[in-house]
Amino acid sequence: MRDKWWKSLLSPLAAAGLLLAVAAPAVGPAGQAAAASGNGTIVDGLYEEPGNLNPILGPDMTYSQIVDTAIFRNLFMITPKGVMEPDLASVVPTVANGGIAKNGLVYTFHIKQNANWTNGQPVSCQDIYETWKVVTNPAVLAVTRLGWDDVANVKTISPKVCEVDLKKPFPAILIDDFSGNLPGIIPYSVFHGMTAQQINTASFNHDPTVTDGPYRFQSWAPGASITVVANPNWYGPTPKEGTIVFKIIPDENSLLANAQAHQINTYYFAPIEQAQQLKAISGAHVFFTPMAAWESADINFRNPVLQDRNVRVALEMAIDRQAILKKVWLGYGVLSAADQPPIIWANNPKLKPYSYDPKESKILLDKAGWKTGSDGYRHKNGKTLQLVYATTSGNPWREATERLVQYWFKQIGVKMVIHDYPANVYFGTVLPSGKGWDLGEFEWTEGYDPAASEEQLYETGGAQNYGNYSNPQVDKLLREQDTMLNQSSRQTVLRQEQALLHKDLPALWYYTPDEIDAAINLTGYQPDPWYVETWNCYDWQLTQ
Amino acid sequence: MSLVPRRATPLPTSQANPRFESFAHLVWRRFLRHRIAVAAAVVLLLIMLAAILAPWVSPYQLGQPDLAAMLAPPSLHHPMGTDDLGIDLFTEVLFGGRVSLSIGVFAALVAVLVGGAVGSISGYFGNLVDALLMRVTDVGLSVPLLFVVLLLSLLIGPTPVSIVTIIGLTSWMYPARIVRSQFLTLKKRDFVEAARAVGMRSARIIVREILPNAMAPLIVNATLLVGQAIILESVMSFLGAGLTPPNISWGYLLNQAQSFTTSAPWLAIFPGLMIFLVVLAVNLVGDGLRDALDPTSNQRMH
Amino acid sequence: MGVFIVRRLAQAIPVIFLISLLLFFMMHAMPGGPLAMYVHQPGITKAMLEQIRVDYGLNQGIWTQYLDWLGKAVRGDFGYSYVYAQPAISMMLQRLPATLELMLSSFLITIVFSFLLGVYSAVRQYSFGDYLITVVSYFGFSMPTFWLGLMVLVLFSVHLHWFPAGGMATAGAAFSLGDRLWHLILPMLVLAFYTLASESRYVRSSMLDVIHQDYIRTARAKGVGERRVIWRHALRNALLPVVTVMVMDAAYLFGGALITETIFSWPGMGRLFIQAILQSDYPVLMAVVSFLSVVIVLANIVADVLYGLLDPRIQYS
Repeated sequence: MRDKWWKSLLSPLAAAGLLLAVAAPAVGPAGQAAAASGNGTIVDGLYEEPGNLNPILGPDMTYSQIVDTAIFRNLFMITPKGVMEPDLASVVPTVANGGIAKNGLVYTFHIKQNANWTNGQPVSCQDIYETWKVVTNPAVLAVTRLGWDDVANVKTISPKVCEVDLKKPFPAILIDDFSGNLPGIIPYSVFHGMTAQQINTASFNHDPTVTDGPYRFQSWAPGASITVVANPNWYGPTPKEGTIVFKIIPDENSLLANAQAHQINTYYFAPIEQAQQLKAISGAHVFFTPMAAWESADINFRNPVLQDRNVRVALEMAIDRQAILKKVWLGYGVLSAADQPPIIWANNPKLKPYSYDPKESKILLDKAGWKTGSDGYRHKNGKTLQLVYATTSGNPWREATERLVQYWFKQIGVKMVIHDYPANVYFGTVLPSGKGWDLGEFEWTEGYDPAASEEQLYETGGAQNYGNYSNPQVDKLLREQDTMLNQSSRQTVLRQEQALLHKDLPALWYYTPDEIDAAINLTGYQPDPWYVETWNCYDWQLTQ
Repeated sequence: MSLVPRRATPLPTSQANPRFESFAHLVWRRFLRHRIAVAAAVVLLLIMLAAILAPWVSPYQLGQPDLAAMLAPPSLHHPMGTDDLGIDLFTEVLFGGRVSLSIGVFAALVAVLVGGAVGSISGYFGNLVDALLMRVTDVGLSVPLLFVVLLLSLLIGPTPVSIVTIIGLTSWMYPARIVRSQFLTLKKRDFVEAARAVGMRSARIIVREILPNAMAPLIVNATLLVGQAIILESVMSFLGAGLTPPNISWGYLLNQAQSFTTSAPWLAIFPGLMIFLVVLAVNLVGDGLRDALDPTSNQRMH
Repeated sequence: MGVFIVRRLAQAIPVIFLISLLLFFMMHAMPGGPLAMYVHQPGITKAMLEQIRVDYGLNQGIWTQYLDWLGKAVRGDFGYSYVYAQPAISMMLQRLPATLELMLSSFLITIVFSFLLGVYSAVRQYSFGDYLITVVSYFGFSMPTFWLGLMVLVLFSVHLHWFPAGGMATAGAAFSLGDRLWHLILPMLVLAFYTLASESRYVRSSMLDVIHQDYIRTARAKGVGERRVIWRHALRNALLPVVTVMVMDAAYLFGGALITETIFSWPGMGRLFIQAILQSDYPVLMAVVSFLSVVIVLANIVADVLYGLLDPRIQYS
């Protein structure tokens, strides 16, 4: 008997293995695709799994927005050209067409007659009312209350006509709250009467059966994929394919392998190192899109060494940013003179990026009193000129940049120590604490309105003013433009502010990189720097 | 603290214990018979030598980028090619070897010292001491390793010294168990009873009498730990908690290479090959040592 | 023996308690924290962050938080995930089948091949085959998993198109067993490769010990066939020490598969775990860690019991 006991151990194991292969959650089968002109399955590679699919709940995750936008729509959307167009609404309100009151306090929205939720209920003013109530409930983990907090009332004129009254003028409300998702609009029929706790943990958040987008939710296999199928009753163009599977692939190299093996049709935000490899894939179209974002290295003004402008300029001029852009980014991007990139109206075109001039850097450091010692590094009052450079770990291009900067700094006698952190530690603890770094590199992506970024990043006491930069003139300009209703006067002021930032160097200005996305065997895909990639997913069509 | 052996290798000298000199000779002769293990040892020594002599052997200066020669394939100028900054990969591999090998060796040393101390105290004294120390060991064994490694690296920062400490302090449990089980068996042997009978102090019995006899599986385990530490260090790089330049290791290079698997495969091949060679060699040497130290025993490395 | 098991179980309780205590405090010491994902939200204010802190109970003293967690955890309530707002325990259980599928299948492969290779190596000690097996099996052991996984993916999926590039099933396709197995093969082999190396070595050395024992010589002398000697008499005796090691390896596979799961987009517990670390999702982290610790502690007891069965010299006093 004894010699066989291990066999008896093995056979149930084998049976269990097979059984589990059957029992484990499967990706749902393709749905009936009568709603679409084609019935193919588009596979969309997602680097991160969305936390939930409720368009008003946090946390703020780009990948949640991407999936949300396939199944939820908002009143308006911003097209790739940066123009606002109606989506659920039938017209964009303006002062001219009477949609916005002259005092900026009353907005009237007309919802499309044929805009319905998937449970048959019309999308109506009630939904906007409910969204307002839910978002402003302090116990709801809303992704943001910006804008919604300024709403005084939501009045139903008729089911499809809605009046939103504001407490004070807030022109950005159309962009911040009524375009795109996070926050979006939630269905009254689902959320009416729920407590905050019920809303935070509603099954709807992971099983959103009532939606109003080109596709509707079908299934979510935790950790694996989210499947949506074409919505036959959508008011917009008929989706060209039957199914989109959002496949969660939490590793960039695996994403590349999936693209190369033709197992995904889209790949968003690819790192630059993969650009050439993506281009080499047959049937792949790689998109390089200028972004409303920039890469820079915040200066930590808590370090007295960096309070000397000469030192900051010396550092900026010691870095061959042109070479980084040309060699590391293969030319896909544009150098910065200050923060705002050229596609933003606040950008000041008169400003020119600092030149790469290590000789000048050395002169400036000499002027600042830093003398080169026998070890090749600069010293002053017995202190070595040493800076800690921090950024997020795991980004090859950032690590390449760091190593280059380290080398270039050494050439002018500055010793640089690299200390990288995982993103959540870097943004959650390291940058805000102001400790453990002198130069902190990161990328900032901004919304449609540039002033918000300026106030967060460079105004004294700004929420993301990590380096404690403070210039009363900048503060004054930012406050001035805040009350201006006219964009061209705001532009003049923000351009002045940009000139100050260029001179002051609250950060080492680097560049604005292009966003890199790939569509493989897929037509209709069109990146939109103001929205998320699925904004026109109804147009996506497989080529085979 | 008097119970902790102060020497790194507590093998008694020949004067102290003549039995051991002949034993060492025997082991040496047996090891030499194990030809694969000898070959592995030679390879290991050569790699170590190259790493130690890196500043003199390497054709380029470390960390000197050449943006005109980015991602150059292996050639006469660059025998292993260049990386994404145009830095000579051969140079990086040589210097990376210094870091990786030292991390491997020192981490194993820390683990063996801590584990040896815990194991011998636990095994020799038994009872309450044993129960307590074994619970601590259980805790160590049951805590998810990568969680602790990741956390500690975030807390104290990824320098070579901190990584040695982290890896060492998360891998002492197996050596502890090995030594303990050796002690459990050995402490009942006649020569220990005899030592006790003549009134030898516990510390002396542990260090002089039992430990030398318990060394064989510990040495074997230590060699394996060297390989494991090198691997673990590379995994830390993968998880974003590894070393940062200028402290490059093979793990760092390998992790960097992942983005270039199809465009510049040499970046991954050479550091990967080095890790493979060293870990393989270390394991083969370990095998040889095990056979040489005790070819018929049923000691199992744990 | 029964007393021994009861005593080991009793000892396990403080161990599990200590682990939870240790991990809870370490987790809270970890920089980053659950609020990190909120600080970049548009329009976020300090007051809103403070509100979230209060909602999560993070404003309380660490001991209060721990005791609160412990009190609920012993009743099976591990709280809600910060990121998913779902019960942490159900999130973990959702991932369990995928982990079990990968773990058990690779464990199975490991057992079968480690016995075949280990016994062969032992019987033909120092032969060419022995060395070949040594080198090949060490290959898995000597390569970081993340690297081996990626190489396998690039080779078999990108270049040869033999296997899918990760995931558990073809996206959008109806369920089929063949499809599931097809997806399982690469991650299973990568994972198995890693444990195969060490376990075939255990089998080899364990067999070597046994082969030289008197009773095996006796069996041979009695004219028992060589195959029968090896596979019946020798292996039976070499088995138990190996089994104890395998029990532990199986336990570690639960948590140790996180890199393989990441590379192969496998929706298992390891990935949930690493994601929870990166997002500081405390409730999920504690749920997974507690589960893993219990599994490992229990496996430890099982291994000890098996070891005792093998070695009568150890007394369970």
